[in-house]
Order: sequence, then C-alpha cells, then structure tokens
Amino acid sequence: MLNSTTISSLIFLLIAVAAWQLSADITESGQFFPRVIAVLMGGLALIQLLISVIQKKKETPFAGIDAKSVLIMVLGISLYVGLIIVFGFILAGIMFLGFFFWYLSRGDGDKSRSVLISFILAALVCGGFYAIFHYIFLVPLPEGIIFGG
Amino acid sequence: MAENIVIALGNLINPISLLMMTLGVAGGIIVGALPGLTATMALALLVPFTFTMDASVSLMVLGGVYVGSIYGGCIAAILVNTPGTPSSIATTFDGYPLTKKGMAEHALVAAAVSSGIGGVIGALVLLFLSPPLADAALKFGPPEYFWLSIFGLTIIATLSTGSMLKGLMGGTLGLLLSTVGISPIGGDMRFTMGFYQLQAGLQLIVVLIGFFCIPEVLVMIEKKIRDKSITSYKPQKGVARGVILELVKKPFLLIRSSLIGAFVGIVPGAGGNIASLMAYNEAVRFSKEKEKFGTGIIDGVAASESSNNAEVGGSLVPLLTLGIPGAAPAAVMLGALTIQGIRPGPELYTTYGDITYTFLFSFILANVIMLILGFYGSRHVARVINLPISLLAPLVVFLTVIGSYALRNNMLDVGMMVFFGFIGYVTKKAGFTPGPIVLGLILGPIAENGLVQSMFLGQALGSMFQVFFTRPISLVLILFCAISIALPIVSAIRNRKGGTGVA
Repeated sequence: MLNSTTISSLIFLLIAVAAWQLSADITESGQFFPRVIAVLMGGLALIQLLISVIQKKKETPFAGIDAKSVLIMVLGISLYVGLIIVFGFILAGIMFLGFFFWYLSRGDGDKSRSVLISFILAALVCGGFYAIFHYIFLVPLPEGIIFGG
Repeated sequence: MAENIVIALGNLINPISLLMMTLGVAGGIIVGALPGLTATMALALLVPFTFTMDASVSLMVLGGVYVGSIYGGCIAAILVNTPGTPSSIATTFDGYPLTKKGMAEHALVAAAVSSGIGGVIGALVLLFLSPPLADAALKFGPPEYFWLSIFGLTIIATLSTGSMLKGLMGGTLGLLLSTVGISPIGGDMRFTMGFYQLQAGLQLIVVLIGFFCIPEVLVMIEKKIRDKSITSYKPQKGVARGVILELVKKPFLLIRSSLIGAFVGIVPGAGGNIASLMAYNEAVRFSKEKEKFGTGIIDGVAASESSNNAEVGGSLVPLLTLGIPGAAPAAVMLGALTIQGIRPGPELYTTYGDITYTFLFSFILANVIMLILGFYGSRHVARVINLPISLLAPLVVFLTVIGSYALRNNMLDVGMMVFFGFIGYVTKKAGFTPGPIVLGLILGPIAENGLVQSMFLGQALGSMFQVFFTRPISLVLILFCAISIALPIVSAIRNRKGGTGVA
C-alpha cells in the first residue's frame, strides 16, 4: 500500500526528472545549476522512497478532518480568482466573503449569520479595503473584464 | 563633526519633524502588517511626497517608515501565520504557535521590545562602524557569496521539524523554484512554461503568502466547530512586564541576533529574511530548550525580530558609505537621497554632515518610537485573534489575494499564490514544512550566481580549488558551514547517549 511519504517521494523524483529534461535545450551555464539541484533532489527522493518502502509506515494525513468544507473552500478560493478576472475586485470579493461568512457560520446555533448580514459585512469589508488601497496606497485593484473593458 | 552633531540634535527636537517621523513609523507599521505591502513599496510610495520637504525631515520620515514597516511585518506573522514582509518569515515559526496558545500579546510585546533593541543596535552599528564594515563587505566575491548561501542552507537542519530528509527535499524544491525565469548567467529562459510574466522569476512574497497562509486557512476549516476563534485572547495584567523581564534575562540572545542582523544587512543582496532565519537558527543552536522552538517560545520571536530590525541599520552601511544599497528598501532610500541632492560616499559625513547625523540619530529615535507604539498597541492588535473562524478564514484569504495582487498588479501572481497555497497544504499533510522550501527559494539566486561565476573564475585561473578553498573569507564561511552541520549531529548523539531521544 502506498503511503503519503512514498507518493511524495515519487512526485519529487518526477519533478527532478522533468527539471533535467526541461533544461536540456538551454546553454551549459544556464542548465548547470538546475541540473545540480535536479540530481540532488532525485537522490534524496530515492533515499526517502527506499526508506518508506522498507519501513511501510501507515500514514493517514487527512484523517478526522471536515473534508467537505476543505474541498468547498479550495473550490471557493479557485473560483474567487476567476470571479475577480470577470467581475473585478469589489463584486468578486463580496461574493466570496458573503458566501463564506454565511457558509462557515451555518449550524452554529444562535451565532449563525443570516445571508443578508453576511453580504452586508462582505460589502463593508470590500468597500473599506478598496478605498484604502485605491485612494491611500494608490494601488489600482482589478476592475474585471465586464467593468474594466 | 561636533558642530554637525549639535545641528542634528537640534533637528531632532523640532516638534514638526518628530511628529512627521512618528506618523512615518505608524504608517510603516500599518503597511508592514498588510501582507503583500513591503517596506520597499511603502518607501517607494512615500518618496514623491518628500520632494518638497526639507532634506533632514524627509530622511527622518523615510527612516521611520523603513523601521516601522519591518516591525509591522511581525503582526500578521504572529496573528495569522502570514509574514507581512519577507523579513518576518522566521517570526511565524514561534509567533503563530504562541497565538494558538492564547499568548498573542506575549508574542507581540516580545516582538516590539526585541525589534526596538535590534533596531537600536543596528543603528549604533551604522553610526560607529560604517566605513570599516563597508570595506569588508566589498571583499565579498562570487566564492564568498556561494559559501554564504551554503551556510544559509545549513539552517534547513534547524527548520526541518520531524524529518531531516524531507527538510532537505523541501530545500531542493525551493532551490529549483528559484531557477524559474531568465538565468542570471547566460540569459536563458528557464521553466517559464510560456508565461512571459515568469521571466523575472517567481515573486518571493507571492510564494511566501501561498505557502504560509493558505494552508493555515484550510487547517482552520478542517475543524467542524467554527463559531469559536482559533484561540481566545483575554487581556491580562502584567503580560508586558513579564515578557520584558524574560527578555532582560537573555541579553546574549538579543545582542547575538541583532549583530547577526546588522552584519547580514551589510552584505549587499542578503536581506532581512536571511538575517532573521540565521538568527533563529543560532538561537536554537545556543538554547538549552531546543525542543521548545517551533512550539511557541518567546526566544524564537525575539531572535527573528531583533535580527530583522538590526538588518535595517546594516543595510544602510554600504548605502551611506559606498552608495551600494544592502537591500531593496535601501535602494529606494538611495533614490530619496539623490532626489535631495545628496551623494552617498565619504563626503556624506563631511559636506552633508548635519543631514547625515540627523538621519543617523533619528534612526535610533525611530526605533524607540516604534518600540513604544508596538508596546502599547500590542494589547489592542491581539484582539484580532478573537474573531471567529467563520469570519477570520475568509478574511485571511481576501487579504492574501490583495497582497499578492498589489505587488505587481498582476493576476498571475494571485493564481501562483493560490497554486502554491494548495501545494503547501498537501505537502504539509505529507510532512513537509514550508520553512526549508522558502529558504531554498531565497538562497537559490545567491547560490547560483556564486557557484557559476566562481566556476568561470576557476576555469580562467586553471584551479577550482584556489577559487573555492583558499580565500580567507571563504575559509571562515566554510568553517561556519562545518560547525553548523556538525553541531546538530553532535547534539543528537549526545541526546541519544543521554537517553532522551531526538525528534
């Protein structure tokens, strides 16, 4: 049975091989350092792989976690980045914050937040940060394809 | 000289100048506390506003911002495990575990006091040792930089919690990531996968935010109960006094870390991140409670913070004496000096003596102001941690997105941050800590430049041995490397003989 150490060793080994291959077409001075690192990484990954195969330790890194919420947060963060590109900083921020302020407080009895309160909070946070970054730090935040053209 | 010092002291007690500098320190703390907004950015934003100011006032304000922003980086590092600036990477190692134990105020006070002490020591180094130290820094050639980076990489032994082998593998991953972009020698395009935005390489702060912050948010979400905060903070009486008394008992920790910071700062290219990691490493090495590091110990916070603030003074040594900035924020300071018509070099202490000494003394004063602001603000800032996870987790993601975007106004950076965040979460679960990976990323460019240039030198001279192993500074650094590698092994053998076992 493969455990997380064995799998990670194999992935490191793959990265090392890929780094060696991808640096094949560049000049000697440019490829020297990445190839030294690739050899080191490959060597260390092999040692780790051998140790993990010999020891056969049982590892359960994701045991006892709320996997559904973690997965939803991972998807939410990925979607948030996409939403910024389309709708811009403020709208995407309100959507992301509003949803997770509500979603993560569900089932907390009296402390659960209503959808309306969650989105009002989100709008205040986004508006406040937009004002600080746009008008004080002069950092232009993304306007999105729809509103920014 | 005496006349210049009198003028400088007169400038310092000017209420308007003092007020401007205090505002500069406070503004710097706020900017530093926001992930993604670096000290360099804070200074660059402020420089245009100082055009019309008197030269001494403008330098006092900029010095205050520099000092404040480096300290401010510790706030996010301690409260949400996100280094506000790269200089506070090592502060996360013990700062955040302290917060998780409900001791955020302890960590923040320790950071404020040690930052103040480190900053003053760095400023004293700047004031008294500038010319000789700048000469020594100029003797660093490619082989010395190579050995310096190798010495830095030996810190992996300290940063690897659990498995040394996994720490080394993480270090190589960081080194490999550092090679993304145009190669420093030869100009080849490497591992950019067709993205022109990656030609300049991976943005350190983007990778940092990803590796340190997103995994922490996902760990918060893993728990099924989220109406509670990650820990509770209740203001207690006597915390500040207790922390100060504890730090006073450790003068060597503070002085050693500050001196490491100041000397690393003097070497051009080696910034506050390397300084704080090296100081943290030495703090572990010299401690009698090695096993407590990484679990939330004030010594870890003090070592990192005193070092990165001392580095500020150190980075200004080559700037003021030779016109070579020791770090990126110092490069912006060079621009500010030039705008004011001041040319760095030996004549800085004679022709512009009044302004230079005003700047140097104000630098010490800025550290004292920073200490006071940090000290009294800690109790209020620590309350942030009382936010329930249902609010804190989305807010942290929101801040990381702003932080990674604001660096270059580039959405690819946000994508990279999220990508490295997810990788950081999975690797954390597989037993890889982010410290060694980030260390590899920081030291990679220094190591590559040093190694490849030294090899060219060796080829030209016909002897690699002569280039790598005969130069005096290189030999000292090789000795440090050997000690750094040997000590953990000796310590492990001793512990095994003592029957205590080694983690």
